[in-house]
Amino acid sequence: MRAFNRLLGMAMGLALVGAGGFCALEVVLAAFGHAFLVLPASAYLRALRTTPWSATPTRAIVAAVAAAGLLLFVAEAWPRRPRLVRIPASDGAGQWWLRRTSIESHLRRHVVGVTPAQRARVRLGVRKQRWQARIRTVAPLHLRPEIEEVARQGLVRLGAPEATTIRVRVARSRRVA
Amino acid sequence: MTDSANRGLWLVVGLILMAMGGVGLSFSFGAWGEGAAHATIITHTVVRWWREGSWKSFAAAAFIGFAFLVLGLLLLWRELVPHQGRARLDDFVLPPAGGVPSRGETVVRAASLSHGLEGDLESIPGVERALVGLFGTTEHLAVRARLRVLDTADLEEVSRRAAEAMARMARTASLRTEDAEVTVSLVASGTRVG
Repeated sequence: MRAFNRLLGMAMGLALVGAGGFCALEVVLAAFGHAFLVLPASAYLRALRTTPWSATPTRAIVAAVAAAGLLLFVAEAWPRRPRLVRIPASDGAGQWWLRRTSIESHLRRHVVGVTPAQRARVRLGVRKQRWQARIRTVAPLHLRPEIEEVARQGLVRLGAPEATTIRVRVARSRRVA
Repeated sequence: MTDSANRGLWLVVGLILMAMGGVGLSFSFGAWGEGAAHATIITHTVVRWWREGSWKSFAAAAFIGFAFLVLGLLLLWRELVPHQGRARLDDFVLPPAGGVPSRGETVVRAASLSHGLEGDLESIPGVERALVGLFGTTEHLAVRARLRVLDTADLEEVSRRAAEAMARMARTASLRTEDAEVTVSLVASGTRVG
């Protein structure tokens, strides 16, 4: 979404430059009695002077504008997981941030490496400075408390706050460890 | 432009589009009266205003076009400018020791400082790779660093040693570090970075 927003910003910047530049140029030329150069503005203006608001094409266009606005608003307002997670640092070291994806990868490696879990998927969320880790793993059911404890230790070692929530969902493996 | 600024911009644009589309739909379905629904998009009144305005109408339209052009350029610049518009630290001359004027002068290359700090940070156990950017001026220096750190490393110890390294650099070059931000990526202890 970050890259998409940036691309959208550049596209909008280019569109504004193009539309604004052409509009200013055409209006200045028209003021001095020249015909429109690039845009078929006369045809557009004639259409706008004869098309009513209740016409089907007008309704379709304004509905598309409203839908695009709604889509954009929902996409941007939808809560996103942070890219960076703040961790405590020594005095004079400034602000320290950990990449969320690298925490997730580390935790996955840690859980699979330390416990008999076969594989794990980790999703880390941070809300009001509380870390929330969701781990889905394939392991015998009775290992859930152990996996949770191992994950907690792994996160605390990285500087996670005490009030970190860890949820482990275990899918039973066919092989018994 | 920062991610949150971009997000704010698109939230506002989304709201404006929704408002425009909503008002347009309410117009076309007669919420403002049947007369409004059957009125043309550019009404005779607007045409009359344009004609009565004569050169002022052209000036207003040209101004709006020009404003869009400037807005577009500003947006493009904000999106394309690196490091969110912050200027990198330039090479600088060290002030004479004790304020006593001397014959020569000592020029410090900013790049050598950032490379020096990178080397210092990479000497910390557990730090595989360091990338440092120095921004601002010697009086208000901002340090931005990206570290690749082994996941077996003690981050508290790494941050303590990094603070010492930054303090050493500031002391050596008579800099005042205003703020520092360090972004850490954890890497598996078996992975080596070229």
